[in-house]
Amino acid sequence: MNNTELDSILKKARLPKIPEDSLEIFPRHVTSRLRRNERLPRPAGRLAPRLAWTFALEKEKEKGSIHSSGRFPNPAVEHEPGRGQCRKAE
Amino acid sequence: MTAADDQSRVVGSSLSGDPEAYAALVRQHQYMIRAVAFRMTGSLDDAEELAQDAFLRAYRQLGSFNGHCKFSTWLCKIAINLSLDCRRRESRRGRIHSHWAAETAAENNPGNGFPDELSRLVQAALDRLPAKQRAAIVLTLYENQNHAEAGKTLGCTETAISWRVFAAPQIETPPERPAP
Repeated sequence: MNNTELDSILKKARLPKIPEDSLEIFPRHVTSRLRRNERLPRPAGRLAPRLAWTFALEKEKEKGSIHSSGRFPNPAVEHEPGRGQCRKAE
Repeated sequence: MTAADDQSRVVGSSLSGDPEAYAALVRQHQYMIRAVAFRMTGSLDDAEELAQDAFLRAYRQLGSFNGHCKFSTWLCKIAINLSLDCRRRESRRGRIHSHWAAETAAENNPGNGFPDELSRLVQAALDRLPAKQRAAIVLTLYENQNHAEAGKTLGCTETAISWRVFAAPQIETPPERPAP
């Protein structure tokens, strides 16, 4: 048997019949899976670093190592606790 | 309006998030993708699952479709690659399990819904080929791609495809083991 004859035999092979209702349902299955995937919540891992940073910054503010504005103290400026104002160090 | 214009319009609508437009693409190409998936897996259930996965992956990658080939060719490439990935995973899990599964499936459903004996025998022969060789035959013989196109789809050279296609008939099938 040569290649052409073999090709013609292979091409004669038909597929099992796909039921009509399956052809109707299939696109709906795909689109519903698409919608389901779109509704998935964001992975929780993305929120965790932000929470950790917020918590750590609050702790540092309480300890006084950072100013209540959220800025780190400038070593060139002397901070006077309780007076709520700073003056230039001499 | 040409078919290509119509196709790019529907792809464009799908990209803008219109699920109905994508459903139209699925309806249009489902038979072809399910046929490719069936030739690659040899099972209607696996083929349906694989075809769904292929359409989902295609939707996620629609942005990378630049129209350099037909949408059907691009979709076919996704389905073939998915089936090759499945085969790789299956072979990692072990051939014993897949042989057992195939035998059980054959016992439960002897004809597997094939319209005639020749079709069943051809699919059985395809199932015995290595996955990449089967993919080469499916693309060239049933999807009418030339060897260069099939090479692009499978990420190999035209020569490799020609070798896979012409070497397939010479591969000897292992003799069946006698029943214990």
